[in-house]
Amino acid sequence: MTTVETRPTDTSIGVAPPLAVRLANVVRLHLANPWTPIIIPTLILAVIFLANLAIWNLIAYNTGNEDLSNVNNGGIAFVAIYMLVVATQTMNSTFPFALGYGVTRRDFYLGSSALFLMLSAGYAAGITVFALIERATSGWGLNASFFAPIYLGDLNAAEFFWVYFTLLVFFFFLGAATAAVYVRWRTTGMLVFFGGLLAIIIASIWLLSITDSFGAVGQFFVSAGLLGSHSWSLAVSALMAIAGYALLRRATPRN
Amino acid sequence: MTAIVEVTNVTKRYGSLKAVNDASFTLQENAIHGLLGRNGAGKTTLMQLITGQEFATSGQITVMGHSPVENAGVLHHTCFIKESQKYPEDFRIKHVLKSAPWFFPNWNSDLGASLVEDFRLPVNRKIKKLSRGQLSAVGVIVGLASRAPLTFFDEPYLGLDAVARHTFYDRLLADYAVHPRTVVLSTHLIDEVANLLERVIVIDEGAIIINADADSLRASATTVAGKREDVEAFVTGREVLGRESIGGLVSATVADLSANDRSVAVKAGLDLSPVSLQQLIVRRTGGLDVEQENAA
Repeated sequence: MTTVETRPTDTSIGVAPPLAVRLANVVRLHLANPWTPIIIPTLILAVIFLANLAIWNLIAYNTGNEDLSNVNNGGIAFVAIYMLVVATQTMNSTFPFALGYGVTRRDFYLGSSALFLMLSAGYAAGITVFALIERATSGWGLNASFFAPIYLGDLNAAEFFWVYFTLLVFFFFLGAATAAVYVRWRTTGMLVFFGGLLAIIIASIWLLSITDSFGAVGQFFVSAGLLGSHSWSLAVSALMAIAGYALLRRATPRN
Repeated sequence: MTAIVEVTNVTKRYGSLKAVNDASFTLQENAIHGLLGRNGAGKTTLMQLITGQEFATSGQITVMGHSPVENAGVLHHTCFIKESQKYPEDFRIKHVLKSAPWFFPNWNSDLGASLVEDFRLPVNRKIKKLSRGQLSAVGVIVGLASRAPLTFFDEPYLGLDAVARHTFYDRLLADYAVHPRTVVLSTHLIDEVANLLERVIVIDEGAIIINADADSLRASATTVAGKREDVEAFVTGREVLGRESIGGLVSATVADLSANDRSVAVKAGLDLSPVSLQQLIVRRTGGLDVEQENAA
């Protein structure tokens, strides 16, 4: 072979773009196809809401009752479950792809976490806007509740946002941490994980029973209040986020 | 030539299986390497180790002096789309083309677009709906258009027809000539790529058994053909890598012939011909002699 002094266009091996740029690229990768993380859940939520609105009006029309304040609705919970699935898919299929693109596990996890926080904030802000509209229109003219369920009481805008934000963050990192167990140890990991989880839950109930501490647990949530409990959930979310990273940083993409 | 990748005594165990066993070799900067070996020989594991996707059980790997593991400075300059690559849920081909430039600083969109045409890929189709050949073509396009200084192709021809395979070989050579980079091509279609390769690394059951310049490897063995008694007389005392016979004619693959040996052979009325890379590697990785097969 001839030793021609030709160089590749970029021989700066050892040099990477700044961390912020790398993380931003991971976020863009997740949003390259915006249908899954943004468009589909928004559409589904819109359809659920419009269907509910139609049914409320149908009930009001047929019964003449224009106060539906006793009709409870959990439609909004769909968003939380959907985000759990998004986080799971992200870990399972986008992770090995990002590695093929030369992304480090650390950058992938930090970038994905940034995306989860951004999506949580975005959805929480959107739902809050509709919750305020709902309140301003006296429950769409029917005292109905969809974006501001009864049990949320008289929260102000910032409190609405906080409740939804912490809820979504919790479900994102629940999905991420669980999927990280799968990515790291596959089916065996799942079996051990859910087996262990079940054992911990049973042991906790058992422990609470024999120490007669159910009251104390209930007291904790009562004294923390709705907002306090949601704020405390961030600590759990943070633990799940750390566990997810600990699992993923030694994971290898498999088929 | 300088080494861009240095692999030193690397072993990767999965339980009791040694997928890579005490491998030591270097990859040369700006050369096309063939990583050859049978199915399950450890080719993919080796490439995963070099790109930090796998963790070595023992040994050391460096790329330009840096460990690739979790090192953005190294991985930012590598591209490794596996044969069994997973893509994000709901990704279409166009999403791959859209996102690739964010990760590969040398990405060339024009090259990507013309390759899409060459392989006749439907850019709006979901990755999950692609045929095996189309999936391979997506990997080939990312590998070529990324122009990454360190590019790995993992059995890129799977499911590709002969025309598409030659498109790949032609485009690789053409682009490589203008934008030299370090390429590793794992394959077992050795004859097809033989002319592309400058370096040859052969892995068998996890161990590196050949790591040589392609030309010197080709020159390292010669096929000697002629009448049985002439051939037998000539090869006695030499390293015979393989032997085929039809009736009274024998052709034997013999290692390391000197110029003097050659003239002796020609005087004895024997035909000398260069051995193909594929034949040579089949011999060295446990291929049977045709004579034995026929006898069975």
